Amino acid sequence: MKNIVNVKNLNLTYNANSIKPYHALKDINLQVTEGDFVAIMGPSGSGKSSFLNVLASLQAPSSGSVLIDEQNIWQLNANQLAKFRGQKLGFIFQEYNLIESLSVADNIALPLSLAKAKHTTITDAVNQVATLLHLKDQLKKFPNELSGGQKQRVAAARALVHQPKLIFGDEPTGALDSANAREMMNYLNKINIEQHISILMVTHDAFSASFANKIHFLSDGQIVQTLERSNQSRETFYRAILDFLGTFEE
Amino acid sequence: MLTKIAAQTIKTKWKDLLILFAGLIISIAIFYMFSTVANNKAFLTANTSIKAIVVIFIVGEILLGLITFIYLNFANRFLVQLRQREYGLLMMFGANKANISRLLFMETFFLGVISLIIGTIVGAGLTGFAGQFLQQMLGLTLAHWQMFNITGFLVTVVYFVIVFSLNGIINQIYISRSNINTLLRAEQTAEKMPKPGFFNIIVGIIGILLLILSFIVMQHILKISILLGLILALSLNVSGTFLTIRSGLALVLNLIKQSKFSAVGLRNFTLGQLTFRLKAFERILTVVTLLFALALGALTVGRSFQMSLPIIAQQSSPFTISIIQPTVQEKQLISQLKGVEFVKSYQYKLTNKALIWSGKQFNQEPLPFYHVKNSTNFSTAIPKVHFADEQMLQSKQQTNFEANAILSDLANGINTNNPNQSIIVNEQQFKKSTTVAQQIIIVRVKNMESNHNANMLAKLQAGQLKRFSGLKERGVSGTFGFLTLAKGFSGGLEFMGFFLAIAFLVMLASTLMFKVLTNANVDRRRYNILMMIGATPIERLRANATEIGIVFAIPLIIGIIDVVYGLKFFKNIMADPYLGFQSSLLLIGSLYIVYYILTVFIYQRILKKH
Ligand SMILES: Nc1ncnc2c1ncn2[C@@H]1O[C@H](COP(=O)(O)OP(=O)(O)OP(=O)(O)O)[C@@H](O)[C@H]1O
Ligand SMILES: [Mg+2]
Repeated sequence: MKNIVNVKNLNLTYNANSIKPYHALKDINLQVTEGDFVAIMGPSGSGKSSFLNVLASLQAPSSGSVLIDEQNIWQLNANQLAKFRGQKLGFIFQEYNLIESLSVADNIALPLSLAKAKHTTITDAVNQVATLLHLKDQLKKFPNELSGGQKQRVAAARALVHQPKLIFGDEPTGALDSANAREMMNYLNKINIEQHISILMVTHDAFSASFANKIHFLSDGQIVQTLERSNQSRETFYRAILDFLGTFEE
Repeated sequence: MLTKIAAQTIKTKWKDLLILFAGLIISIAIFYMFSTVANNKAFLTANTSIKAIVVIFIVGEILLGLITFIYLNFANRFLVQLRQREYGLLMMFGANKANISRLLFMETFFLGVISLIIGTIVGAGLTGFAGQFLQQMLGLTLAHWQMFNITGFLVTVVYFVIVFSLNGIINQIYISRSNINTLLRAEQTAEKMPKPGFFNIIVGIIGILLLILSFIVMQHILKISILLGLILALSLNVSGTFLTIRSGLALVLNLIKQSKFSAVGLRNFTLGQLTFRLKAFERILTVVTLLFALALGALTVGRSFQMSLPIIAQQSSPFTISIIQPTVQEKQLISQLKGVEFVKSYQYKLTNKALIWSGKQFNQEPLPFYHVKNSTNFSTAIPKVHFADEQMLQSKQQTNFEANAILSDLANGINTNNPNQSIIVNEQQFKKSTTVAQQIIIVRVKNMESNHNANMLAKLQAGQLKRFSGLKERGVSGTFGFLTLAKGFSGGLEFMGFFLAIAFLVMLASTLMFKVLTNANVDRRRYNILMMIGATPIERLRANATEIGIVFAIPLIIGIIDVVYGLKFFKNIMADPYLGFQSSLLLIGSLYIVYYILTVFIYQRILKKH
């Protein structure tokens, strides 16, 4: 199986030139095989967001390499990187949510508009993901007319509409109540299985993480443990995660 | 502690504050210049025949003061916006509202004091420069021009202290009304997307129609009664502009949005942003449009008037200059003039009773004259020069009157004490008089404004004025003397028009700039989303520049059309009100575009900030 993500000897130091440099990521090695659903967990300040930002090409690493779909992303220039993101990656980030000045349909269509896709192609693709994520009736609305769960689903639809190879999520259920969180995770699961899109998400929530089939635990900028779901049911896996977190926090 | 934070803020945020500073300094400097000129009574009375000009300057200063106040208000709001998150955090850490308002007050105070000091220094420099510039432009010497004037200085300081204090009070009210949450979340307050309802569509269409109607009225303003036409055009225009910006543009944007055109790239995003923006911008854009038109219009009319002076001067006399009793040096100067069309020399005798001319000399040297026009229409055409011989001068026809007017003009110059006693006599009578015959020369050159000719003519004129003190009041006969008088007369007005227009524009454009920039923090998130889903840095710049460009273009386009039609009104009082349009548009337009580029530049800086 091909690796969709391949991280080698990754280091990230904040304020490297100051008197107090902060070593946020330490020599991380990680592979994600194509079609995997991976979660990253860890205590606050352990470097989860930093790690995701480097993988998602939003933050440059200090050393090491990040290969996504066999392309070393940090060898690309700003324009190539933007194109690469537009073609291969999808994002469900909390702080980068929807654009209020665009309707739901236009929000979802953005990645395709940016890729200068044909009008009819865009309409078809938007309708398709809207059906998948039960957003058909919301297409004409504006973000301020949606509930929190609906907004997050629109974000997911936008991450999905251009058929990316890999979706990054930073706390995709962070602002949702448990019912909405469950629904969101079910959708992500469906996307992962039906569309064969790989997913890599950061979460502090064991319940959300239990939908993944592999979990890496980050502590102080290093991967300290990896749990695999294998053939376990989601509920069993959930309990295993909670058990591990219990020992981990001691 | 608070002093330290305030000083720290200014130190770390100086790049953001710089633009605020620059705007403040410009407004203080121009205000200072106006106060200095308005309070320089010696200058005003020495340079204009109208004593009421002091009032005009004071009105100008009040206008300037008002617009400065509005400008400072926007600038101040921008400053607060820049800082409110931090204020929110400080409050979370236990600072109370009194602390925050003191902090804000201190920051404004620092800013005010520094900009007031720099502003007045720049203002003094600007005043000196303006004096130089005026002398160059108008070709006249400005007596009693001062760079510094204590009353002007005090007026400036007092005015700005008041304005700063008022702004301080507004800040206090703002802080006392907001709580931690609103401060921290100020950037995220959800704006509502305006929807084009049926009512809005009607209003939009009415707005566009009103605007078009106002142009039609302006087009035919001279056929309607002037006062009625003016009131009608103005009210149609103002309401039309407002409604067009309020609903009409949203209508247009929506139509574009519906089309396939919008689906490509970031067009949809830009259109959405604009629809979003225009609602919040409707009032400021209306004001900017009207004042832009006013500034451009005032400058154009002033320029047109100034530029039409040489034409009016040319129409005033068939010769350029007359030289009474020319000396050897003066004759030499005349021979150095370039593009000479004719030089004519006449003999006269100034007796006790009258000024007499020998009629015979006009057969060798016919006297140039213009046909008097009967039409009241102003024209920019230079009339054809006709020549009158002795017989024509003596005849009873119309030409007699026209040619004799030229002769009287010369006589008036020669005999300033007892004008109008000019008689043509025959050769014997002329010889009989025992008075010594004198010479007068008249010259016509093709171009009296070329550097070389203007220089020579100025020397000739100065010589004449020196030798014949009676000429001081009426000037030297000829087009050049007319031009000199006219320039002196209108110079003060044009000067004020020029700087008022510039000052208005600078402050309006910066007001618009600050208004646009207050959105940058909110927009940063939106643009970051775009970057994340694959927009390149160039695409981001393009989308941003287009969005801001359209906001800036609205007042520019409507304002220019306003001026083009509005100038029609001046057709009945001046030859060609459009004469100065191009140069004024170039000046005001480039200044405006500089502001646009600056806004995009700063916007990008804010967007890129983490
Ligand atoms: N821009 C930055 N400059 C300096 N240090 C930073 C920066 N961003 C993060 N850090 C530091 O790096 C460490 C990891 O931060 P990161 O945001 O990756 O943590 P996290 O695991 O996502 O935490 P949380 O669960 O609280 O979101 C933290 O100690 C943080 O203080
Ligand atoms: Mg985080």
